[in-house]
Amino acid sequence: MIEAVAYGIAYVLSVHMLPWVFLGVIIGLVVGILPGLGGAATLAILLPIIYNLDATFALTFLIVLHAAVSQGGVVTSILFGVPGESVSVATMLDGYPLTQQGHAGRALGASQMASMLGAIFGGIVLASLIPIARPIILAFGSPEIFMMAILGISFVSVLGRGSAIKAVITAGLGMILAFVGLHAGTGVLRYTGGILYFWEGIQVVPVFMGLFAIPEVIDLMRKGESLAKVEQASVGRRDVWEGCKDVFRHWTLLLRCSAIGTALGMIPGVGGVVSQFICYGHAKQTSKRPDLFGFGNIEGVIAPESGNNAKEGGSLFTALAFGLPSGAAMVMILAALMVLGIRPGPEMITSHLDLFWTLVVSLIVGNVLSTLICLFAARPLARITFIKGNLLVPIIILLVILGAYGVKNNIYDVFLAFVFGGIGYLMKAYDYSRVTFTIGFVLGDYVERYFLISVSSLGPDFLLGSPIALILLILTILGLVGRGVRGLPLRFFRRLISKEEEEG
Amino acid sequence: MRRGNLFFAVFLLLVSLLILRATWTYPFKAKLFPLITLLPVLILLMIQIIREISALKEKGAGERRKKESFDRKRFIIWAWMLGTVLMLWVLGFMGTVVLLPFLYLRFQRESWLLSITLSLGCGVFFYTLFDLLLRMTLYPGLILPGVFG
Repeated sequence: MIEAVAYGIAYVLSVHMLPWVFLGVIIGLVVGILPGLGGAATLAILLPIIYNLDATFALTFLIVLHAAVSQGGVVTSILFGVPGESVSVATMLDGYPLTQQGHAGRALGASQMASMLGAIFGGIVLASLIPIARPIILAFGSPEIFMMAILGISFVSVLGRGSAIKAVITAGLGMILAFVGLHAGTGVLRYTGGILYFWEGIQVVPVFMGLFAIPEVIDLMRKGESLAKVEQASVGRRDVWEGCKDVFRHWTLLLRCSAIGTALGMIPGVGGVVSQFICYGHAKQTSKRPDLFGFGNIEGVIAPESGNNAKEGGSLFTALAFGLPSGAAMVMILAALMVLGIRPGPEMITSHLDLFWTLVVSLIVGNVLSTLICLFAARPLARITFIKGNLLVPIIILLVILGAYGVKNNIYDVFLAFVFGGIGYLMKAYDYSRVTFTIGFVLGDYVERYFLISVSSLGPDFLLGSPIALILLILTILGLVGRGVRGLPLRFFRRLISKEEEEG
Repeated sequence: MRRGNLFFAVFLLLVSLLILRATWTYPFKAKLFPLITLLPVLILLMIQIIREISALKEKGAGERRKKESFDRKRFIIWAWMLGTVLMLWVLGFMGTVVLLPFLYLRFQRESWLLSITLSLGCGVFFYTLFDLLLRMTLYPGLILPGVFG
């Protein structure tokens, strides 16, 4: 195995490969920064090109490109509040407020450093798991994924800002939105209103774009100021470096979220959209200052970024070793393997160990290189936030249009984004949590689908047969009870203080 | 603002009731999860509405009469949003990419030079990247296909 690792490192860092690695990273960063270009779509565009190429070369190129996409996606999320990729929504929740406070450099520094360290963590875990991973992955069936989704939804109680009632209402409405379209279990069309467009369900990206980006554009139009709402702000290298240091200050959070991300990445069907929110929820739950989440808490940037990039290691492992993709991008990587005549599966670890390790090294190198480029570019990028708002408004609107349209090249997605823009604006104005809405929307489908699969294949008592699902159930209950119990003294003291104030 | 909160909660309740009405028509398997989700949402929305009403009452008659002034700026912003969607629908992607920045910058009284440069820059950038390099099918709008066939 050591020989295979050495081969992987030597290949990726060789003189003939490095320029291509660099090119792949640059393309990945551009794809990530532009909201309309998804990483999976770009890999799909590149598939026909790789037909006659050497397998190791082609796959290395695709993996580094894929690694750089999410690093680029976070840039627009932090700077403009427009998620470049659907996996960078959670980072935006605290990254964008930091930009508004004039700390774009710090947010970019922290996100890039957390991404890089998370990816390295994921890569190392991926490597060390090879001998024991098979039973772990195979232990995850529909009951476990169902409970994982329930655990994710239970975070609604901690993620909602302000009124808990409003948070649960929006999470429920988000779940209802996930039920739109053809119901796989019965073939019934639900909530489509007879409109063909809704048959396939509602796409995640236009909803996210509308809910989060358009209210910010409206805000910008109303005030006409720059994105950064302060006159004096630090966007120098020191601020970027401060963000990097923040990651080391919160090193336990980094490790915990990287571990969560890697574990979730290994579970087939659980994408980055889910893992980023679980990491964000975990960070808020365990933070000493949870009240600052959503207002520019650096922990809210570190947690989803480290989890999201650590997830790639786990995803790559399951895709290569078992042929089970965790998301659209991994489907494309598997398609590339097949185009090149390599069958994904356990033989990847036995017959193609050199290639396996080359891809692991590519993932890590791709992340490290894109982080370095982003860190060097962070200063000029952060300066964008001081450009006059009037100039940025049309550009951000175009990015939103492009982002919504680019998912399926469907103009109705853009219209949908604008409708959700209006809804998002009202939710923001009347203090209904958009975060819990998106969590309900993302996880609603998982909960229903895996519940029905579990019941039909294992019967109504499916939870009793799975120790992992039971552990997850206990964790969910403990989490909910714990949050309730911890909240009690706080509520008691708040009431006491308000009583004293009234009396005073 | 308080009144707006109440109206929004009532609006959400009405939407939820409409969804509930549609849900009843589905077979058991298809309506199970929507019902499990909807029922608590409906109960919580009612609680929220009661809270909003009592908060409104507490505020007192004097404040209740204070009407929100007609916000001209808000109207203009929504007009821009609607205009953008219409522009996209009629002129297509490339038409909007060039025209939207130009019109918006001129509306904000930015200089002619800046307005023209930025809109042309956007046009060239998006056309080169998406049409020439990536060969992405960009929405042509209603007018262009009619004119050019």
